[in-house]
Amino acid sequence: MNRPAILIRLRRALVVLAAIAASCCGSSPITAPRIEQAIETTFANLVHVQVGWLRMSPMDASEFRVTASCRKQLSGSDAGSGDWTCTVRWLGPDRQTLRDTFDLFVTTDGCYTATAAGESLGGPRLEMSDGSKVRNLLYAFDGCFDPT
Amino acid sequence: MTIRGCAAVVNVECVKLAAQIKARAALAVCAAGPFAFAAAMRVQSSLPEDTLFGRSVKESGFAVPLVVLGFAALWVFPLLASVVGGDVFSAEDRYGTWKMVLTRSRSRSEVFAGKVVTALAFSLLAVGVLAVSSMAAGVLLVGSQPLVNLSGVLLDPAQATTRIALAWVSILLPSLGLTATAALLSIGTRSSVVGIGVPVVVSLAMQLAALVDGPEAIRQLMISSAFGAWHGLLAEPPYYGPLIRGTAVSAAYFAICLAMAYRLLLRRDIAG
Amino acid sequence: MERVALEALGVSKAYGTRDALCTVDLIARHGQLHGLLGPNGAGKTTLMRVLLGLVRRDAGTVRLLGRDLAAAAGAVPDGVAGLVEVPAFYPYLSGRRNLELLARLDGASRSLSRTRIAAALDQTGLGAQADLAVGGYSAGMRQRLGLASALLRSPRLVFLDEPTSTLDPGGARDVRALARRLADEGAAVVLSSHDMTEVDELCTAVTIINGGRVVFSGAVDDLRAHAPAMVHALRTSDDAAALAIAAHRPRLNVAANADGGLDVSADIDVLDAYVIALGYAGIAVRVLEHRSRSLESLFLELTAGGDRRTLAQPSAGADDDAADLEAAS
Repeated sequence: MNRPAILIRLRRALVVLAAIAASCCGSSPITAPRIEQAIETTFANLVHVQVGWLRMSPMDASEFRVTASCRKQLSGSDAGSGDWTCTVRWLGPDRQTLRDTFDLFVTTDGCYTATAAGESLGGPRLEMSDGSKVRNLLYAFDGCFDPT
Repeated sequence: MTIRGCAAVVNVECVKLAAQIKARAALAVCAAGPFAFAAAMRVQSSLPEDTLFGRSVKESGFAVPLVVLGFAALWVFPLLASVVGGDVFSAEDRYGTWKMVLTRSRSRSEVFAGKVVTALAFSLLAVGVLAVSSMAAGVLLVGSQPLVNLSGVLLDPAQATTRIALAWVSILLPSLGLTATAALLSIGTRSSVVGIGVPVVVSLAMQLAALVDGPEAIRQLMISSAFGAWHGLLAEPPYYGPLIRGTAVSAAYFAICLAMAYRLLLRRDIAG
Repeated sequence: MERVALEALGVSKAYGTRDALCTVDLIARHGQLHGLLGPNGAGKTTLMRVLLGLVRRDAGTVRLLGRDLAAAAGAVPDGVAGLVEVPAFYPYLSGRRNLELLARLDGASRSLSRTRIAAALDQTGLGAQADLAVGGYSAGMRQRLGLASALLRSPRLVFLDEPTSTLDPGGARDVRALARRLADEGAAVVLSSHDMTEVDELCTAVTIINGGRVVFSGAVDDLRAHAPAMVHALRTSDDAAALAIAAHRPRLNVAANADGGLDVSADIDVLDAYVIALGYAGIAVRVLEHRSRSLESLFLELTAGGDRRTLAQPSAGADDDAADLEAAS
């Protein structure tokens, strides 16, 4: 009959699968260096866009000299999805050194949500000189990086 | 097996599909759903912040198709992929019509190919309708403002449209992989409940499993990961790793499931 | 001798350890109504499924209209049509629509199928209900629609699996007339039934199956030649004395029935003489009725549970030869 043959093939496939899993069962690709690079790039780009929306004099993303330092909130591990804290140091538009902290939630596919930990970056919306409001891109933002 | 023979079967299956409410209802929801969503976004103040691009949904219409893309990965794509594929074979068991269909002038190979082509075409059509409708809903109801991508870079409408179109195209092969899985379940279990329900439930389970850290290889072998591979297209610079792996995995699901399904149908005794 | 339309030789099919069919031979010729007879569970439907490619055979060859039917499922050749058990259709479509879809699977052009469908609906008397959803059809209407679907293929070889089982007497009569007309027009019709009377009336050739094996195959006339004479039930005022009188009469077989009364097996003239003799002996006849057709009792004898009794098979193409009755162990 057909059934036993298909079951045998399925069993073989599962064995192969388990072997791949065992061989790749190393540490997670969600590491601090990867997150830091993603935050540095994204943060700088967002500031650049925000400056444009606030109709301030345009500045290139590289001018903000963003550096990030991230650690996993759960002590005892330095990789993996879940809650992370990142401290971002950067040069503001007025050339002042600024330091801001973000709470991150990172998923296994390399996507994250960063929420500003304090009030230093302002609320969800920023008021412009003419009274209108724009979204504060740095208050909370999403991003993704390559986990492969 | 001839092309004409398969075409005849496709013709018959399409007539049957058109007469069934589920196919028409699914396509109607795909066409109207995004408009309802975009209209709601215009009216309400809270945003779908748990989905990528949810924050941007009020300021750029291009966020709408991406929010729909992210939301639909959970259960909508699996359901669209299996609503026809998971029923196209088991319906004959349910109505007892195999003995009528297989005593005409079409071989089992032609019947198999025709039904599979119909199921695959429906999946492609449903995804296509959803894509076009989401884009239209976003642009018409919110606007075509520039979109902030996943690396904080502002995309102009032309760039946004291209990337979004590619993102939706990347969903097609995983959808076909799930359709093939549904077809295999439909033939193997002779049950439409299993054929339609199991791919949805398994997709949900896979996504739940992907929430926890585990062997990376396992995560990449799950077809649900392929539904999120489009993120790299909306990053700067774009990255393609998950997309390449997702394509390979989807193609494997597609080929393996169809091969097994074909063999099952060819060897079955129609005794009921 | 008409040309062979169906040639099945050595067909076997087992489900696990159970032999559903064991080296079954079946040959049907053009213009012939060939009955396939057997009790329920004998393997008639399984054989039909094998001949139509719905079920894989384990051994044997099948040629339909001169074309080999591969053991692996293939399309049914043009000119061959079959109905297995109660036909099934898509309940959400009308009868006509269902036929259109089946015609499309046959590769018929739209105009040709329209003509054929109209003719088939007319022949099966479904014209009025053709545009109603099949979900509302009675079993009889579904059976007619099944016949219509077979007629669409302009068949030269037709398999009908107990086609009158769900029909009222009028419908059954119409189906038999249709089968006879198909045979008259040159088709080979293989008709399965568990009713010997129907086969006796309708068919010129018969194959009897029991427990998956052929116990008789040949002309119905040959079968009749082996049948015992008529059987009557007899009750008299003195059964014991009636039995004693019968013992000395030639060509008369009288036996006591376990349920009371006597079973009389004799030609009609011998029976008449016996009844007169009983009267002369002062024994009154209280009940004398025809119990069963002789062919039926032969059929029952051949297909009694587990019985391996067979009649010698005439070789293919020599149906005119007389068959010898022999009991197989």
